[in-house]
Amino acid sequence: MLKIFVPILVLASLIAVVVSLDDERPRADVVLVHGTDLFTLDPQRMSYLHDLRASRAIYEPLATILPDGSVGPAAAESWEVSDDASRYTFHLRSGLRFSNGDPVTAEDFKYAWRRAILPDTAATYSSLFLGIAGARDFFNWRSDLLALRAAPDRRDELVDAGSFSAEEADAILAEDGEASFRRTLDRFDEMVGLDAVDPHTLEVELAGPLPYFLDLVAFGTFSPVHRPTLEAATTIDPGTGRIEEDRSWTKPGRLIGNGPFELVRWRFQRDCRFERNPFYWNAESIPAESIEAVVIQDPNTAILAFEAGEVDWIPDVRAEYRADMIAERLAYEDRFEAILAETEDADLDRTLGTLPPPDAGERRNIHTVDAFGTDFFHVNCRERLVNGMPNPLVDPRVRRALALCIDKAALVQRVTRLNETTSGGFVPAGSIPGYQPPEGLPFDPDRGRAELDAAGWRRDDAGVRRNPDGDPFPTLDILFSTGSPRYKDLSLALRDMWRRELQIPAETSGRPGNEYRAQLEMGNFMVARGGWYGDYGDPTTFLDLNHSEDGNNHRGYASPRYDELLATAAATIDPEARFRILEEAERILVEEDLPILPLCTYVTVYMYEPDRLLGLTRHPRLDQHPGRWSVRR
Amino acid sequence: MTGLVVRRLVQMPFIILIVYTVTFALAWLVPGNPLESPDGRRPDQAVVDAMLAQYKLDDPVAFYFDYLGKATGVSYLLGDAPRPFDLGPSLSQSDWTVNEILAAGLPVSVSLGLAAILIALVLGLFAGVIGGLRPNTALDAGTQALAVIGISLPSFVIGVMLLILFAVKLGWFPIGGWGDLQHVVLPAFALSLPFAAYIARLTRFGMIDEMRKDYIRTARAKGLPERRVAMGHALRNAFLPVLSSLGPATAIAMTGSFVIEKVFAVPGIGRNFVDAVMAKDITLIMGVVLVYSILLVLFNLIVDVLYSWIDPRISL
Repeated sequence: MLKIFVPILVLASLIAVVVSLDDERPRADVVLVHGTDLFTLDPQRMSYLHDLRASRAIYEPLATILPDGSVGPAAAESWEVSDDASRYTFHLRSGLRFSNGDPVTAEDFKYAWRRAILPDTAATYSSLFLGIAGARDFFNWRSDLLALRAAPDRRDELVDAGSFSAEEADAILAEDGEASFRRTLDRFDEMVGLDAVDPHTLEVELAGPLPYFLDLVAFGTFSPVHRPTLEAATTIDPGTGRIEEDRSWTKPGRLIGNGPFELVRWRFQRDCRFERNPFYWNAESIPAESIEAVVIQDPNTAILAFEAGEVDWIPDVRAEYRADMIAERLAYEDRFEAILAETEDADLDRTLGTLPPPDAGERRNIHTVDAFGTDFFHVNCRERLVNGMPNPLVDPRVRRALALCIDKAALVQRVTRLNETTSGGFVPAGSIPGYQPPEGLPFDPDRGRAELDAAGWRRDDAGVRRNPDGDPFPTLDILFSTGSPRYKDLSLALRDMWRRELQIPAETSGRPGNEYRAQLEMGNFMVARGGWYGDYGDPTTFLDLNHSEDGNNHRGYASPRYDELLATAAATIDPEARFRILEEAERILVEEDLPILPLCTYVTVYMYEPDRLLGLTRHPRLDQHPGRWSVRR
Repeated sequence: MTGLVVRRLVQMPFIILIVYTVTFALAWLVPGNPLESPDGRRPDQAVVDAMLAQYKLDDPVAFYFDYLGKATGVSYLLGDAPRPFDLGPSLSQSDWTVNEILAAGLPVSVSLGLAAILIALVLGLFAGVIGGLRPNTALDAGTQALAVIGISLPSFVIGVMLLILFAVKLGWFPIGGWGDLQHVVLPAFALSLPFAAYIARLTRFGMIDEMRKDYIRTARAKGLPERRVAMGHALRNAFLPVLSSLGPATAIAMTGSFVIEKVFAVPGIGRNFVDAVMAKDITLIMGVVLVYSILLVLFNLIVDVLYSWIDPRISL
């Protein structure tokens, strides 16, 4: 009989041993939740929001986004901009150091930016660097070089295309990968307008005026990296000439940054921990000693962890009952309406923290904050649909009719139930200082029906809308992705609004994410769920999407007038005048042509106690900086 | 018995190779592109091509043999690879290699799975013996009802209930995560319930069956106390079917805890597998499946060995 218990005892001791091998540390000053682990801590390869937020803990670019959305100095103490906004000279602070004590120089920035531009790095955001003079040509040249080394039989083709001279192509094929890489570095210095004049000065020459270049420079992918670490992790494939990096350099103990914190622990799908970097130039002003992000995939568990006090901040509350929690927040706000009405948005948390605690059925720890993104639906603007049928939506009057019959207030109150700020424009209102997006079209079903009548779609005796040829209005198909209930709900609501207000037949079709995207890119839809988050603090981060040649213009919208305005704006140096031109372009977009139907500004739902966690900004860019956070216990 | 162990160990590479091949074919056929980020932002085509070439994703045959060579250590022996048993970089988690991911998650999943089996054994044997000794009494009905609940309640429901009661209301255990024995208790308990229920039923039927047999009458006749009759004689035989179910059950508990891992924020490998399939992360899928199949084969072997050790009548 005892024999039965032997395996049990063995099991128990095994577990005890394995578990006791774990490494525990005291709770960090600020603990936040990641719904999924960081994707990468390599600043040049980042694209996810939470990666970029973490980058602000361990790296610091030349400039930074301040809590009010404007740009301020960071690793650079100051800069000069040429009159035509195409040459920027950055002056680094003196005495800047990496987390191991090495000095940070202009050369480190140049190295990092070159990494981002090199196609070998496969940086998602390499395009942000292509405004630098020569960067695009260099990117293409390097891509061609790699293509040539991979397939020498393409030599003649590439020479004919002008990528290389015949001599250069032969030289490349004759040399080894290492030599090709040295050739690439020389070529970079020749072609690209990036110059580390001295250890404290970085000069950037742009291909044309970019008034928002400073905003780009504050983006995480523009952070410097520690050259000796990267060089040790880099090898050049002797055959293909491609750079290969040992990606384990982003792990604790190896990763060296210049930000307010250093990485002390990163355990896959579990947690990562940052502790104050003593070499940071402004270390005394950093309130938190340590910051930890724990991975909690389940939205409900995250809330339980918050309720139990194990975490201080959930940056993205996704639990299904969040709308009910928001209703409790509104109940709390109602009680103190008089006080809160007088509070500036930036002071909201401070004021909330001084109010009496919430009663039962109320809460103040859930916060819906406007994000730098717009929820919209795409409208197909092509003459014909993919199936060859004529597309009634090619007529802007029909598109306006659709827009005029969307009751956005009802959508945010009863469908999404998140009370987002409804939006008639594409650029989120108030997100870019000095830019005033247009109003867009109101909810006006009478005007909508009039537009549809004017477009020739009149109702016959049976109530069916027909064009002058007698063809009935085709069934309006609304494409959405089934991943999130939000898009299904919105699509069904729009279908009903258009059926009811415009008396046209409408149906929805849900597709899994991949298939939805494929249909969208093919243009195989009439109306489709959309949405866009801006990358940098300029209206073009949204407006470029509707340029006739943009890769994300899935709508087939091609307006010479709109393209012209964008081109004029790009050539305009005066920021005020430039914004007025862009406002006019956006007005055409959302009041006349409607290739997109804007619904509302996206919100992010945060969970934190306003009297405990300090230092979060509510500015729509939501550029949260770990170096500004603190917790009052 | 040595013969069996040797035979099984020789078979193992072939079983694993078949699993590898089938998994590879399925993973390759999954639609989608592992290098595409779910937020829909797509890098430049040149960048995509660079990535495809880097990971040899442009040629399935080359990928199959290259990966096989590196994973088995053959490439290392031939001097083509710097490390043996290299399962490659994860395609969707680009800062991590599959080896690192498995090394981080496997100890967690294994200890959670073993703890769950341990709890299941204790609960299941206890409930099964009680029910088996007093069949068709209120006590039996009670344990049976509990067993049915254990099997039929989905683990995410039980998980959330346990969390709300023991972590939020009573504060006895942390909400989630991993680190010390306290973190193990709730997820292991939630994970153990279906197994406990299964073991309880097996034990109950076994006990009822054994208690009617002749050798039990003999044992009673020679005046053994009832406790020793039940525990020393009947349970020993009733335990055998439980034991044979333990091999696969242990492997399943160690690998199939995706929901539990999610609800209790346990950093095991179960959810890596699900995430990997979603992202078509071929290297990670292959790595996890290889580890799963090795575990499954090994645990079946261990159980067979235990079997003959507990019951000397069985010779292998």
